Amino acid sequence: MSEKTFAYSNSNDFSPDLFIKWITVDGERNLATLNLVPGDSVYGEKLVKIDKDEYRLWDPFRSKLAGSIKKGLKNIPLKIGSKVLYLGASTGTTVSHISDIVGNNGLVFAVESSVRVGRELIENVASKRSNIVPIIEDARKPNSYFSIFGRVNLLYCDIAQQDQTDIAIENCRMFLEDGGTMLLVIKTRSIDVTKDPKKVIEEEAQRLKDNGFKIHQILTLEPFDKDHGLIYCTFENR
Amino acid sequence: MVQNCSILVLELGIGILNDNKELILSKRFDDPVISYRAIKNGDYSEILEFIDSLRSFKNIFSNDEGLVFQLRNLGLDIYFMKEEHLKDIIENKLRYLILCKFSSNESDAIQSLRKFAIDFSSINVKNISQKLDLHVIQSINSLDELDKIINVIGSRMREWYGLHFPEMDHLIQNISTYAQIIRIAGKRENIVLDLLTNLGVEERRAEMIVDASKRSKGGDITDENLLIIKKLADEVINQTELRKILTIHVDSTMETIAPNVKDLLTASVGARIIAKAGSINKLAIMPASTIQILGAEKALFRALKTGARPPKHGILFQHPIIHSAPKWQRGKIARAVAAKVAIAARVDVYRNAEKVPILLETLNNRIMEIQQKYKEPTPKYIQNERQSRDRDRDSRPDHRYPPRRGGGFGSKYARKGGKKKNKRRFRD
Repeated sequence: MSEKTFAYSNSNDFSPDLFIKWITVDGERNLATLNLVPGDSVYGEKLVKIDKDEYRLWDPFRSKLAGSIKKGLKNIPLKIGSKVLYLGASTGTTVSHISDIVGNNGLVFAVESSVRVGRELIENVASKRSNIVPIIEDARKPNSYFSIFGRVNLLYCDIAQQDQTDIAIENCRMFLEDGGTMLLVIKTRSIDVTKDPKKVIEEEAQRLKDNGFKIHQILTLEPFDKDHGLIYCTFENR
Repeated sequence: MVQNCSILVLELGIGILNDNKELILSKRFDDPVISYRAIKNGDYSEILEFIDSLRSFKNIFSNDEGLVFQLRNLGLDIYFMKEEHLKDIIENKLRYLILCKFSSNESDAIQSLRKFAIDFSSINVKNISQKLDLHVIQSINSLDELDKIINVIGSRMREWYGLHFPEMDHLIQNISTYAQIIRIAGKRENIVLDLLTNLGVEERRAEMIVDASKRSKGGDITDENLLIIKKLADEVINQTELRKILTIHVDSTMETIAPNVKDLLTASVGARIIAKAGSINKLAIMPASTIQILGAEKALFRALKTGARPPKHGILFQHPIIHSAPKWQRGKIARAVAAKVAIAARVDVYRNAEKVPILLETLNNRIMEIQQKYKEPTPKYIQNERQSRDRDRDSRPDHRYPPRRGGGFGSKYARKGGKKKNKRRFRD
């Protein structure tokens, strides 16, 4: 995957063959994705019709991926038909938008360990969207994942654990293709409440470098999420 | 000819392949979710019919660790697969599914896998939602909420009925009895001795109430208003009834799911600890130090951030033995209790709630030891108290201003916003 395929800047629109768009609603520029299940709003987001297509607005305060795109993520490593492993799917807010973007030929493996939110993930998102495979398992035990196959193009990790980086690396080793992308959300407060958030992000980035990742970009998610960062990296040598 | 073979446990069935990755035989699960779950839980009835045909192979490999263990006990030469082989199965799972004739093509395989994932996850969710500890968490939380509700409606009822019969307010403390009286008697003229004694009010007090009702300073009340107050009283009575049921329910559920934790902590504190931990299983893998301060997260993180003294106890403070102990013993007792609770939770989870009375015995011994050894305040405690008292005095705003002069209305030194209450230092 070359970077050019997805390159965009905040001012320009995405390439027209992607299922993601900037839409201006009431004078405000919003991210939006093409609704895979027209008429269905997953978490109360607005649906906007453009010509024949229906788009779902993507709230950067609800989804860290949208937040990081708004903050200028260089490159959104998703295209039609991508395979994604999503750790920490929660109720499926972000998962649903990724499912929109990869389309019916893509696939999202959504891992979530909590049964409580897993129930909502299955009911509201996974059972309605044919490209989502819900895996209610602990991300610490990638060996126990069921229904997963092959390697994925993108691994997205958003879990509130102290050893989140190690969990992500372990999952990358098992399931991410060579040169594949990882987006790692760093929850600095989960890693160490006493440390300066910036320092925590730096340390985690260093740990990724030591494990064969190439770091492309580090973002903080202010003002959308406090004390959160996002690392955009690729898996270079196994 | 003696050959090697591998047994693949896949989501849709079991396949046996030879070294050249050719299918020897396969069995499609009738109900993949049930069969796969059974195998992962150590039930190998699905595979038993293959055992005899497996005996002719020299080395057998499998991708399921539990299966390896079980079949080796049956005398087969079976090993857990090498990692590269395991990775190969995950990577080429679709091909294997087609090879074993579980699916006709790739997109069929993907659809079956997705269907399996949804069904399997749903069953997991269902099974966990049935667990009793989740219900005990809901019970204890609703118990706490009921207390609030009863208090709120109860005080409104007292306040309102007080317009009609203010003297009864301080004569009847129990909110439920108060509600019963309104419910049965209505207007104060109807309150008679028999009625009160039947409700369990002692005779002397009952006489005082009847007496007060005759020369009450309260105003008359319309039937309409009385009707609504009666409805409020009904609400109080109903909620109190529900509260009783809940208390008994929490007690009996705790007895079945966590008798040892209950023994050490009492049912309600035990249930609150489980609620805070999330489930009894989570509690069982917690270190005692975490259990000790469960519920005092705010104080703990403040301590971590600022270097202040860490909290001694969280929810455990509600344990009668801890909050009735002198301050300097509480930390020590909380530590001892937490340590035993950690063990008790593990027994409850991993030994199927078998009763272990020795836990409570040793805990009581230890507490007695603490009570004897630290009868007097420890020097460390006295020092800490002195320090925090000094800190309090320094930070009290009055000392930073010059002595008050007059302080009349509008004066520079007038207190703003009413008299400042001395803020109680609360360590949870």
